[in-house]
Amino acid sequence: MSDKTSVGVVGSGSFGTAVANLLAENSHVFLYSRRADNVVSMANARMSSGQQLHPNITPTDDIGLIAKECYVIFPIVSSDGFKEVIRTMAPFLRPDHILIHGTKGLALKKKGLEKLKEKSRISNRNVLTMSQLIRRESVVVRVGSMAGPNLAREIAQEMPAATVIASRFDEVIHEGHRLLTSPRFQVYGSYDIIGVELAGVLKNILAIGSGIVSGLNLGENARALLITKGWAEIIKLSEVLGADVKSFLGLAGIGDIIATCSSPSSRNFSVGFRLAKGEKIKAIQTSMEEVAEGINTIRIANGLANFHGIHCPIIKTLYQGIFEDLNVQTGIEYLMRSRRSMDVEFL
Amino acid sequence: MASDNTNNATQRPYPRIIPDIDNWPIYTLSKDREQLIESVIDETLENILKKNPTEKDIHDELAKAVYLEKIRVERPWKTDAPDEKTFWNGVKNKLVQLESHPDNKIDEEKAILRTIIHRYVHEIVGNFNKGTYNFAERFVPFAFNRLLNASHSRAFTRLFGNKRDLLKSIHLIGEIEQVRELAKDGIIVAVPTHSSNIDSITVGWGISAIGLPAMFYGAGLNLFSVRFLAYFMNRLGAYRVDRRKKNAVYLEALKTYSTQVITKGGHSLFFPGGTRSRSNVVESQLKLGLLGTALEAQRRLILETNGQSFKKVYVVPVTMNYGFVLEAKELIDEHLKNVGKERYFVPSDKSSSSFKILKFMYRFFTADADFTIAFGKCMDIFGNPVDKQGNSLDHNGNMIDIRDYFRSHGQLTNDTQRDSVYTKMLSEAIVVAFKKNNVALPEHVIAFAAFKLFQKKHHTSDLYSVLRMAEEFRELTREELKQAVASIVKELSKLEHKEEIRVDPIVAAEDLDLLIDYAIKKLGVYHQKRPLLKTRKGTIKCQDMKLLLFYHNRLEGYGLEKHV
Repeated sequence: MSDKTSVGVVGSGSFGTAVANLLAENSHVFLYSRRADNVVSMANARMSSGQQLHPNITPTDDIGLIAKECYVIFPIVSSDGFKEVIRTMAPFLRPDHILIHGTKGLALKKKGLEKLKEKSRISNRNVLTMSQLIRRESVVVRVGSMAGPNLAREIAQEMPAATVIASRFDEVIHEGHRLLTSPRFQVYGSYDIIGVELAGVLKNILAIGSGIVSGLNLGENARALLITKGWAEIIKLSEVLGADVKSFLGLAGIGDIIATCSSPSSRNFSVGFRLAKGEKIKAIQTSMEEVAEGINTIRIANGLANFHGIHCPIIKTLYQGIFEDLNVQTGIEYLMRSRRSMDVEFL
Repeated sequence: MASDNTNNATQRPYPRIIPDIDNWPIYTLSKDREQLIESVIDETLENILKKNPTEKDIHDELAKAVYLEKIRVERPWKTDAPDEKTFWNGVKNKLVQLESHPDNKIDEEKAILRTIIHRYVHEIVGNFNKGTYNFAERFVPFAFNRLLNASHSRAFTRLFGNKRDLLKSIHLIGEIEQVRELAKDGIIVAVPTHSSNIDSITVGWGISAIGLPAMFYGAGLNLFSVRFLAYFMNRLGAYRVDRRKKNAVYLEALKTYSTQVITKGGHSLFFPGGTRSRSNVVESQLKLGLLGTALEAQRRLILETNGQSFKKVYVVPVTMNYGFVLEAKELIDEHLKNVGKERYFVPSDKSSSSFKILKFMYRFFTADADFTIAFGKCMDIFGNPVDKQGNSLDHNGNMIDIRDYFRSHGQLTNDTQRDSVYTKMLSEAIVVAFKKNNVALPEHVIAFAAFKLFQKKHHTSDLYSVLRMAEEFRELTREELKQAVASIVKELSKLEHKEEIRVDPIVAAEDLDLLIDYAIKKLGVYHQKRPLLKTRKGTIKCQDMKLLLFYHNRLEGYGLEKHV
């Protein structure tokens, strides 16, 4: 096994497993789970997150083995556990490793995500995307991000799809393309890694909003209004973080938002839907098996808007609806207050 | 080492790391100057042909170079060779003639290309003369010392003792021991910030004062127009960098020369900002061309030995910190004029007379201005910090094998796109280091406080309306200035604690009255109109808002404005 043709996937959640299965069509794959009992059950039952495991997949809880045996590793864990995973892996990583992550979340340099309040202010300098976190916590420089309309359930059902691999390095894009491409999966490249990451992360805010629209039966016009105007807010925030607006028009931008905001199978969508039906956010979070990234993302986006003075009424109203018990009707009235402004201001 | 008969002023605080000049890399490389030139010409041609594989590519590259050069020669500089027009007309005519003789065209075009490269390389490559170096090393401190002693009788504040000498007027701080240690076995690439035309002289002096061998250094062509400077620079390892020539052939020749020099072990120095910072803001955008040559040299050094035992290239960020920039007025005027239209900016060859430069230097030293050269922590070519032995370290202090950066799937590979990203990473690391090693001098603190107070009083963040402020409004009470300075000093001390900036001892002392008096006295002391001046009423007045902006800019980007 020392020729290192294997590929590593770190995280055996639904998306991690789906990606492992895609990769296994071309290569041998090590699939990491930090829980030893989970590894044993994956190895025995050949199932993970409700998906059948490809015969080319070897489950493992040995992160050092993955770093030793694989040049290319896909970390796909939730953003709140991301830093810990990279820190565990860091002693085994070298500058010739390639890390392509598939996590749709943000992290703060300083602690305090839980303490964020409605008026909290967060500077762009305090926010990290997952690729920046990898750079900060490890010696790896060849970092990539995988984003696009990739609903795990559909990939698991072997439906056709495409993704974007973004990296500053051609080599990373090429490797992503080589390893992932199959008759049912297309791979596009981008150099704007920050833009692609942010599009994938921030769209979850609108997925929650879209779930609320469905839960309240507000109709498709309202959904389109929410998504379009919310998208403009997201683009303005992303520019502050160094993104290129063009990425928001691509597969990781518009592509992902169309898939996520119209699919009840999206975790973030279902959070919104259940909120609209009167459940409390804590109860929803406790009942979910996997993290809905959009919840923390709204907190950070709201803090960023406060710090940089960016007018984001949709993000603000969603924040209040989720964390401040804002009455839904009041929220809608607030959003529908007429404002005389031009339509497309962000380009 | 200075001779025994010169006085204390010229004594070296740090012994030479290589005592005998005959063993300096710059000396041994310059002995084979002709061979070096030939090798640079050959490789430049080879590189250009590799990048332009077809006949059409070569033709287009030549045509572009001729087109750009024909425009350039219309506005000649003093340093330009007298036959520039004739040469380029000749090249153009030959190219036109070739159009009608398709036979053998490719060979003819290659020959033309070689002639152009030959011309460029001879223009770029400098020389090193031991005698001139020895003379300069004795003469420069002696001359400076005379200037300083001449000014001694003037009633300037003496802060560093009565005995004035060069070492006391120019402060050398930072990671000097580390640089000295690593220069013994490794290759140093020093990258200073660029504020003034005298940087080339002062940084050269600084390098010599910390005991390093002379370096190959890239100096702007305009400096060579000063005969007296050119005489020394031509013999002390300076090579010419002409920012006007933007054609691919010239850039390739320049880069090839720098790469070869570094690969052959020559310590090098160039200004990565490319030009003097017009606004006086610490450089945040660097030119990647010459930086890339340091990376390319490291890659070659590793490949040459197949990764076994290789020399390491260390990058040393250096910040030059002046409390008084001689050409401040000209610089800030150019900055304001060119904000938003930098692309169309044509650099001029101002400061082009020996007299002017000498006058500048005289003013600089007699003005008793604060000047500090800060050597930052050495880094490897990827921007990683290195320890005393030169091992590259990661964030957790673990050693990194830098050969891995050039490997793919276990093999050392050549990937120019990858290297270009590494160069960007290095430039990002240098920018961070520049900011950390910038020294907050008293002059900067007071200018920052005053300018921000004017902005606040004027209730505007619009730069131009503050600059146009009527003179009667450009006055501050000492108390309000003191208050603002106090907050800034407090914040600077926090930033220094976090190693985000360096603070001058006078600022750090937190004696606000001393600081204010000292800084007002020194700030732009030789400008015709003073940025800040005490009035008889005891208030503080600004005579020149643009100059105040210029000195204030040195502390931009640290978030200090929130504390005024």
